[in-house]
Amino acid sequence: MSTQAISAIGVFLITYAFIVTEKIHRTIIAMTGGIMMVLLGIIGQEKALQHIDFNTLGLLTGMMIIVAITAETGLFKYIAIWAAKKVKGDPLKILVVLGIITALGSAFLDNVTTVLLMVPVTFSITRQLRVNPIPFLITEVIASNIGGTSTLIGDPPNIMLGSAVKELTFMAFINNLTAISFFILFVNIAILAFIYRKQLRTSAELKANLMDMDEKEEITDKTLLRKSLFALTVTILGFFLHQLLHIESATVALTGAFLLLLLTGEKYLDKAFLKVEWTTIFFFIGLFVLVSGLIETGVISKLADYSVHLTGGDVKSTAILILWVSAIASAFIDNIPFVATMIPMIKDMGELGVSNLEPLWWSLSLGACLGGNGTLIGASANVIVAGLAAKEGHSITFGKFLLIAFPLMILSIIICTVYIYLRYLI
Amino acid sequence: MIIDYKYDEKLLELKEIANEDDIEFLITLFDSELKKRLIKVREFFEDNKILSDIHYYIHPNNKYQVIVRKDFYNEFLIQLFRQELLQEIKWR
Repeated sequence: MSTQAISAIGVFLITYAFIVTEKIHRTIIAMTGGIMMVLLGIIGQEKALQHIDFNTLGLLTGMMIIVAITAETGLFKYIAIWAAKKVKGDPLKILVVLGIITALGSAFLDNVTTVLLMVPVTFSITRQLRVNPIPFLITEVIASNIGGTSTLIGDPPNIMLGSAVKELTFMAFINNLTAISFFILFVNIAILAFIYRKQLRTSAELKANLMDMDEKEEITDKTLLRKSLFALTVTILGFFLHQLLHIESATVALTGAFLLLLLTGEKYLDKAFLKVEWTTIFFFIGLFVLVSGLIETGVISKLADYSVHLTGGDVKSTAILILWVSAIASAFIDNIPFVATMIPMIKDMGELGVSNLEPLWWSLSLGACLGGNGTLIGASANVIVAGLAAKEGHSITFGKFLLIAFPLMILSIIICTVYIYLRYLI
Repeated sequence: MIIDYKYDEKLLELKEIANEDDIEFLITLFDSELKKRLIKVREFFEDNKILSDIHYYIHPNNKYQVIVRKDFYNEFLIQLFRQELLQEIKWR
């Protein structure tokens, strides 16, 4: 192994350790790691820039702009209150519908954004009904991670996969992951509803109060709502047709975002750009450069070679191994750097003779996305919701979450194992 | 209620009741123009990133239910004054 390869491994492991311990913000660490790769001459600046996946960054930025403007309209509050009224204010049924709405939202929006939109209205509904908000928050976190698994744009690992592998189009994700994700969602929600059923009781008077709410008044700007819905429809249609139109998903998202800004005018420009999570964007940039150091020095190829040797190049055992390792790893560490490392490794496995990579890609996606449900630190949405809940006096401890969520995550991965085996491996 | 609220009775009605540990306000606006002022009160609390300071529920016919956490009671009254929805308060 060359000196440069050893240096690349050193920089990568130190960076990874800092990301896992969360002592310093992950964006600062990832960018520092990426810069170190260039400063130490492991990779040249030009080469590093070539490894930054602008499709991933464009897709994230475009969707963040669309959501930032749409959230101004009150649409998400309207939907939550409307749904709560549709189930007659029954807390147990509200838990189910808010879980489904969160999953649907997360399928098309970033998970963190979705839970940030859902949590305030959840506190509002549960306060009106005088029920404990924690069962709702845990359900929404779990639903958000499952919903995000179902589409190309739902969760960063899927965005990265869709961008790195041309065959994994928006429709390919729909055809391969949506049905299984929603099956897993219904299993999870049914179990959560059963676990929490005794805590979710309220009086007829409080239900009547909720039923009397006027959700239409939550829409604060009808003109902006029409424009936002138009841009959202164009964007989602674009995702369905992007392969047919030969355009990348980032082009679709950025078209939707700037179409909306064209319609709304510059009044919303500053606000929308302020809401873009630049820390996430730069976290990705740092990671892409960091992993590029490993790719260019041949470390990833060696790892792939070792993995192929370990499994004998057998697709069945490799797929199941990737599914479970991704799930367990993602339950404890950030799934974004994990997937960033796994993508080039799986590509190299293809070059080393593993003939059918498709089950490996879906295993990686299912494992990395659903694994985040295993612990409180497994996904950004979990951490954000726990932080918000603690601030409002409702603590979701690591143990409390683990006790509920880890068995559900294991059950989800068992379902995925059966699915991967039956659909792709026999 | 141990506090009397003075406001323009032609424009609105305001009642205060206890709601568990919190204070609940039932506000009815007789003039729709006042909606904008009440929205400003809501926006003030939405901007502070604390989710349970006030809970704001809109009911039909310009009726509003606002559940205010005890530690935000003073701030809520200040905002009502600021928007000129309240004119005076006095201990009974």
